[in-house]
Amino acid sequence: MITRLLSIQFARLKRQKILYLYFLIMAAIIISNALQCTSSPEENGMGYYAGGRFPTLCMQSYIDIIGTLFLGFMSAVLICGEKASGMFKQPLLSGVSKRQLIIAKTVSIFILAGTCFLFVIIFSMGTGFVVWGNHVFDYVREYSLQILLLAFPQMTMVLFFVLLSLYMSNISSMMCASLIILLVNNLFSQFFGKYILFVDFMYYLYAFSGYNGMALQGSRIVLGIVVNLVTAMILVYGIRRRTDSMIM
Amino acid sequence: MYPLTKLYAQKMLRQKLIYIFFACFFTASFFYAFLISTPQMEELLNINIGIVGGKNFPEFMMRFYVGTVGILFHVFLLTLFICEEDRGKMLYQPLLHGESRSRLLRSKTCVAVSMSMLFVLVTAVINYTTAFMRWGYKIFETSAVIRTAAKYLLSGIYMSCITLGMIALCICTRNTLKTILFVIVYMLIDSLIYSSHIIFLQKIWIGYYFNLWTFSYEYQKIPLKEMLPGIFVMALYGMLFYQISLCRTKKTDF
Repeated sequence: MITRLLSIQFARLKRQKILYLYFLIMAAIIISNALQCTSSPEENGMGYYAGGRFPTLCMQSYIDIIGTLFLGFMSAVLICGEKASGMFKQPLLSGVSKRQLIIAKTVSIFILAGTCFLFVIIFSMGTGFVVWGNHVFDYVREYSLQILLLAFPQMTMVLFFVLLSLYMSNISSMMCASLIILLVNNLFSQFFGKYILFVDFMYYLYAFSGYNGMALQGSRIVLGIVVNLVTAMILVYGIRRRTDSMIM
Repeated sequence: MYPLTKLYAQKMLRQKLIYIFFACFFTASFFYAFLISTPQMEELLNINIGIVGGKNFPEFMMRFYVGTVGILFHVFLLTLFICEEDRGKMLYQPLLHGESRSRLLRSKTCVAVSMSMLFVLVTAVINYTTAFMRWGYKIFETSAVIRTAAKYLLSGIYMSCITLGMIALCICTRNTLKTILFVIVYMLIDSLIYSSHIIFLQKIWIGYYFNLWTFSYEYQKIPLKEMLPGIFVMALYGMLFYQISLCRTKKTDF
């Protein structure tokens, strides 16, 4: 049943024009980053990222606001939009349970998040290879670790957006809430990193990608993974409770 | 005030998200004012407090609102205000009570445009308050205050015209997703046109002048010959957007 539901979700996702627009925007941002790195390396410290660290720069552009806001948007489309238009009732009438439906939606958003992130990595490496040749692989070990670590906060982020979508009544209010949360988090991550690192999973989106020159320390990595796993468990519990109590 | 306009204004002001957003903006402005002065933060954020602090701080913080964040916040609110009401069959309620379609649009437009101007004003008040708390009377240097006030006013005009465009989009598409999609495309095209060197296209593009005022004349006085054509182009766009909305409202079956 879950497989069937998943294929329906993917069919729906493939029809979303905004998904293709996202790929186009990310490609434009990556190319413009590469041009900026080569034409004005002294501006905003872009020279540091030229060559081997270029994929790290692109990952930072992705997690800064576009990637996270896009994931929020897709969660809003798949959950709030369908809930508001009464489309949730259709699968429930065909014998699917509420939990199965939410699991299928969550898994499809997970896969979408992974695809978007992979696109950024592959396209940035491709662009870097065109511009700097083999030098793009100079720091491959460094950014491979970042890619691996970023999977944790992104996974928690998806769960967070699913829970938020279940509570929000429509796409607009969900997007407003996402925008506010992302702005507050960006602010806290920049100024109060050392205070929020024990509770805020989103801080690790910045920490694990080396945002603003944040150094990756062993203890910070372990703490980040633990914070993300604990938050994910709490969010799963919240999603389950909300799904059971929700009238669809 | 016309009763329908008053009703829509009350409806808009009941949105808790607006208050949450500005509370967050105040917090951001406050922390920026107090924390960017430290040498570590200056290095981390790649800024020079001598330039962005003091009398220039309100202008520095203006960019945080009027750029991407403000436009996104506006489109989310406007889709809530028009598309979601349309979907919930709330738009034709006033028509059943004897209001005309053009009256309905006028009320909605009036509230939305006032809202965009008010939000820019609130942003200015917040930024001046935090700057005063941090730097005291030093921020009130006459020439800097006049220059910043002019920039806030121009931002208000820009945001009002963009709001009219968003209303036209909401009415034409009648769909939240499509409206947000078009606004994202607009922002993308806007940055591409500003960084391109196609002068003719730049001169007729609504967003070009705002980018010019904000980036090319950062912390500087904007000459009148750069200001007037911008206001004129924006006013033309505003009128065009309003006419499109009016035509569509008359034809649409709500």
